[in-house]
Formats: sequence, C-alpha cells, structure tokens
Amino acid sequence: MFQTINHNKIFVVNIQIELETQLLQANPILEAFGNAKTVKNDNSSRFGKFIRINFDTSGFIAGALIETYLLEKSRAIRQAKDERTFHIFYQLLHGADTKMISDYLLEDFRGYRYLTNGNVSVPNVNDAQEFQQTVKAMQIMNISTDELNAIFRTISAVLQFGNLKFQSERNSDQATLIDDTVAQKICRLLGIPVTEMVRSFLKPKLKVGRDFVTKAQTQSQVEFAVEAISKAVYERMFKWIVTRINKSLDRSKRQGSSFIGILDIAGFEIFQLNSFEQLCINYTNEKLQQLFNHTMFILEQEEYRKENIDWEFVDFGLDLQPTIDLIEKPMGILSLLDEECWFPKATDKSYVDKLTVTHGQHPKYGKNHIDFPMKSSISILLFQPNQIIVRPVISVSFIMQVKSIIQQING
Amino acid sequence: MKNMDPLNDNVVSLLQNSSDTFTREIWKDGTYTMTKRISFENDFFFSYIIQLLFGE
Repeated sequence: MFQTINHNKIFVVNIQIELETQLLQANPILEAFGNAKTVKNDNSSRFGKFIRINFDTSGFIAGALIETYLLEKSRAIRQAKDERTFHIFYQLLHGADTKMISDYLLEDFRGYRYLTNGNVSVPNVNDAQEFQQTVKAMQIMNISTDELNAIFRTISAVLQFGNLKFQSERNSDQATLIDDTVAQKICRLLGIPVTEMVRSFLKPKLKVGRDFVTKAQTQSQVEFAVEAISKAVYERMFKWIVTRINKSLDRSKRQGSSFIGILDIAGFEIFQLNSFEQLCINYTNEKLQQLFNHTMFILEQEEYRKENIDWEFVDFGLDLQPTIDLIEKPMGILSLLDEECWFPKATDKSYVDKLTVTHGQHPKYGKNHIDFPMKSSISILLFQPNQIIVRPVISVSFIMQVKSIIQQING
Repeated sequence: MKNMDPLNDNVVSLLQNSSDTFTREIWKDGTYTMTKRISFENDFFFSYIIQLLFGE
C-alpha cells in the first residue's frame, strides 16, 4: 500500500509513539512514589496532580506538563494502623537483589522505625514485580542508572533517619546520640560528613551578629528536626522525579494549539485521626468541587438566561461555601492556626480552645469536627482535641510543622 | 518566628554541599520546594482557576 516512503512522516510518527509511551509511563512512576494503601483504598493518591496534555493543529499530542501539590510527606515517617507508607518503600525492599541490598545498605522491614506496621502487603499486588515495572518505567522516561541508584540510596537514607536514637545527658537536657552506626550509614548514602551531621543536629550553630553561637537541643527538639529533614528529603526527591518526567514530556518545540487538562485530586479521606495535611487535602477538594459547581451550573444557567431560554434557576450545591469560609476566612481555622504559631507556648489545646470560642456557634463547626458537605452523610471527625497531633510529636512542634504547609497553601 | 522554615539549616547546608550529585541537586535553593506557578503566568485559564481557588 505504501509505495513511497515519506521519511519525514515516519520521523514524526516515531516521536509520537515515544511521547505516548512516555506519557503512559508517567502514571506508574507517580503512583509508586506518591500513592499508598490506606484503610479505605489500596492505591490512594497521597498528592494532587494536574496533567495538561497539549495537542498540535493536526490533533497529535504535542507535549504534556504535570503539576503536583500537597504530597502527604508525613506518611514517609509514620503510618496509621493497617496503612502503608508510599508503595516504593515496599517495592524496593522486596525487589532489591543482593547487590542492591549491599549498595543501598538496605535492612529487613522490622529494622525500620519509620515503617510503623512493618511489612504490610496489599492483596493481589506483588511488590517485587511492581519494583521491576517501576524501574522499567523510569528507564523509559530516560532516568539514568546513576540517577536510579541515587534515588534508591535516598529512600534508604530516609528510612535510616528513623533509626537514629537520642537520649538526654544526665545533668542537662542536652540531647546526645546513643551510637553512631546509623549516622554512618546515612552519611555514606547521602555523601555528607558524619561528625558534622551529628553536631548539626545536636548543637546547631546560629549566627548572632558577626559571631556564631551553638544552641543546645533537647532530645525532642532533635527528634523533631530529624523527622523534618526526613520528610523534606523525600518530598524533594518526589519533586525531582516530577520535574524529570516533565522534562521528558516537554515538546515545546512543537507548538500546542489546544489542550486537555486532567485534575486528579488527592484522596478525600476521613481517618480516625486526621493529620493537618488531610485537612488541607479535604479543604482543597471542597474548593475544587465548589469551583466546579460554580462553573458548570451557575455560569451555564447564566448563559441560558442571556439567551432568553425558558429556564427555572436551580440552586446546585452552594452549601459547600460555609465550610470553605470556616476554614479560610480571616479568623478562620487556618488563620487562627497561623496566628497560634506566633506564640511560643501555644499547644494544640490552646488552639482548639480558641477555635471553639470563635466558631462554637458556626453551623459547620462541631465540638470535635468540621462538617464537610462533600461527604454530607457523615460528620467528619477532624479535630479531636488532644489528638489533633499525629501521635507522639509534641504539640508545639506540630504547630511548627504546620507552618510550612500553610506557606504552601498561601503561596 | 512567623513562617520560619522549621528545617535545621546546619544540616541543610551539609546536604547542599554533599559529595553526591543527586543530593546536591535536590537541595539546591528553591528548585524542588514550592509548587511553581510561573509556567501558568501567561495562561488565562490557569490564572483564572488559581484566582478563583486562592483569590490571588
């Protein structure tokens, strides 16, 4: 049938196949690093994403761009009962061969404190096989062997951070490291000097005017600092992967003329104990739903009216607004939390007390919960005073953690 | 104190000067932290959504 071969066309088609293959591989990679088993869903997205697929004038895919938001990074350091951290941790520990185990200094599931529930398997999922597929997908995305090694070393280091053990000095509150075996491993994996890392955690230097002073740290301060670094390492690695995928999918040389946008929201969940990150996810989802209602129903009906179509105005789901207002308005849940972060002695209880004083009468504010209309049949247990903190983290440090997330939301 | 980055900056600076290329790369200032909105700047649709969402 094809008597003449148009080389130019074949070239375009090849690029096309390559791009489509890569686009299809983006999802398994993002799921391995950003999805996890929760009590409700074996493969829950623990981040939100927006994928924009550009098409050229002839309708071919001309490129794609993925934006992610609100990765639930606290999952990397602890998980609720019957839940897992991100899939990649189990994939790596099940799928690594002997060489990888020694190169990445991997240990058994029971050897990691950050894997709260040890090895949890998901029905009908073979993590070792999934590992092979994740690696293959990353290779198709042009991630090099060196980069793959670096990523797996980083995951191993995140796990090792959880095994650092500190105690208090006998005569003061100053924290000390019990022994440096774990610190040695972390530093080998991340390429940093051991003595300096340990000193930085235990007695960080502060610049005061022109001089440096060292600051004493208590055991819980050091433990909090280690957790914060662990989460940040994982999140930055995740963002690097997303950036890398975008680089592979970017075909900006061919101008796109139209696009399809796909918004994949992070899982709306109601756990027994809900973290601040889950509040942010639920809040964002409510907001997106409200935006959808507004655009689809209100504006559409406005259009009917303009065109003089005989139409009786229907009010669709504007009941989401009061909950959104409760969270985001001045003196709302977020701004009061932001304000509470100013006070050095603030605790979860002082914060919840303030909320109750300010919003006690609000129809969507229950004594222990906020009512999310999206799941209108259930009142969502969100604020359980004394328990709003995620397990053993001390109160003030919870409020500290919250700050960086608030910054993300406020931009 | 307000909006202070809770990360230990002594440790961050060690990571930024790591002997490992990948670690150095992910800890480069500003690159892998906040969601970048710059790519949407000239895009009416996105600025509309972001405006509606966060009132910016």
